[in-house]
Amino acid sequence: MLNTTSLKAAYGAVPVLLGVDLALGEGEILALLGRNGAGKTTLMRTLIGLLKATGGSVTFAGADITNFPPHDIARRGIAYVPQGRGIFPKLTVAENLELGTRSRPDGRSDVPAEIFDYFPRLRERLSQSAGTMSGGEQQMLAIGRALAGDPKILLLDEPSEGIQPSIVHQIGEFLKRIVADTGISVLLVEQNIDLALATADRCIVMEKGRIVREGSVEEMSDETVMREFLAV
Amino acid sequence: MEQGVTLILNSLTLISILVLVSLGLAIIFGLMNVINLAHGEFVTIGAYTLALTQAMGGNYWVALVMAPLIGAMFGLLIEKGMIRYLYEKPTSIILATWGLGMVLQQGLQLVFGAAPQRVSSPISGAVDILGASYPAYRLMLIGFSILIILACYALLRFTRFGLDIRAVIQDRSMASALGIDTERVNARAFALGAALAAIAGVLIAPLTVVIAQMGINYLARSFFVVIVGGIGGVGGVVAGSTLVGGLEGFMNYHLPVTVSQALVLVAAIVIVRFRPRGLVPA
Ligand SMILES: Nc1ncnc2c1ncn2[C@@H]1O[C@H](COP(=O)(O)OP(=O)(O)O)[C@@H](O)[C@H]1O
Ligand SMILES: [Mg+2]
Repeated sequence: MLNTTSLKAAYGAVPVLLGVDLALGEGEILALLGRNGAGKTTLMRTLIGLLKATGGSVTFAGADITNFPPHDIARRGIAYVPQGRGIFPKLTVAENLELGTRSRPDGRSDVPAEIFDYFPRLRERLSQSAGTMSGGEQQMLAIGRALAGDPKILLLDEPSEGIQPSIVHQIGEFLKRIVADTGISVLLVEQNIDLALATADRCIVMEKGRIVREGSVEEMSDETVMREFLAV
Repeated sequence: MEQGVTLILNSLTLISILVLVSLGLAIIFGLMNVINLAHGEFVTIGAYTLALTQAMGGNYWVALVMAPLIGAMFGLLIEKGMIRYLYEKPTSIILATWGLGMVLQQGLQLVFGAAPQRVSSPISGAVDILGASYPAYRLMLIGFSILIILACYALLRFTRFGLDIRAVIQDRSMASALGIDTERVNARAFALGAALAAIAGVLIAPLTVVIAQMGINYLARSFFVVIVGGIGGVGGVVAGSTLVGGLEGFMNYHLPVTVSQALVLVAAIVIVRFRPRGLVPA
């Protein structure tokens, strides 16, 4: 569904992605693990087009989308929930959700009702400023907003960051349910190993701008693997 | 009493003029961080639209409809032909728009000559308000600017385009990652800002001397308004105009114009010192 081949990216003259190859299948939850500074966020930003690739390619549903503008990539069906959530704090919850529909190919701007089935709490807060909600609610809003565009792929960067443990568990459950219902694919960056292993079908590990290991959840659960690649 | 009413209405006229000129500037500056030193020339283009329309026998109302269309067209042309290549280089934009302003001024002067253009207001006479007799055209100008403020507020608050603008102002990258074509939002917002300035030009023209350099009078003050009031919102423009125009209107009554303008500048600096994001931050 989404593939990269020797994808490279840099901040100015500093190379960060040194050649990333990955393949995300249809209906798959793929966890991307790796230490702080490995380049996970950089990869996400390159996939959505916010950062220009300096080499390699990205293909989505058979089309080469390397270095397409972000709005174009979004309209093709890739939704992005950035690290830190990226909600518009001064806009209302309803307005944030409406902005999620801008990527819909049918041009409609009404928020699909399923979003409120997944996150009933958003319905109660529609007229509230998004910035006044708790971290967990903001994360639900960010995911709900991404789903409002009816995407085929969800890029999710550290959804558990800065959120109460009880809600972290819920987010994992939401993700599995959404994938089961819609058949969407998810690329999930997570520092919370438990959440990643509980949610994902498959894991890849990034180190210094490259994918250095790939394996099933069972293989990754192995103590030595964890220590080798993920310990600080 | 009578003098008081006149004083207040004079201040309201000045505030209205500042609001009209500054609204477009605030949208362009707030959205794109573009310091557009040619903004005053969009006002001039509006005033010349009135002069030309009336010279050809057309009436004021035709010009009032034509001016925003011509302004928007110029704005779009300039954004597409020049500004959009310079978003990453703010200093180049300042220089380029300054140069553009000069070209427009000289161009107008070459075509129309240096003498002031003749324009006439659509309504004459005075209206009696609480014992003071006040020119009807100025009251109309105040009324129009209130309408335009409300229209701008509604556009930003309730339309799809308005929501896109507010999203882009808050977080341009996130807006584009959600599927908003931010370059298109830029171009349209620039055209809107130019159209508003051109409307201002028509409304102001009968009260001032219409020459190619007239825009300069409004440029500096409208930047004060936007910086003092707060960037990127209608509320900020109204607050900034009320402060700058109100102070100037009242002080003009007792002091020479140059002194009162200098005092307004001092007040602006003091306010920005204590509220760096303006009176009503967006
Ligand atoms: N905006 C930036 N400018 C320059 N360097 C950056 C920027 N963002 C991240 N980096 C650098 O790129 C590397 C990868 O960062 P990042 O992709 O955020 O890692 P991760 O998400 O895996 O923690 C780090 O060395 C980081 O310092
Ligand atoms: Mg990161």
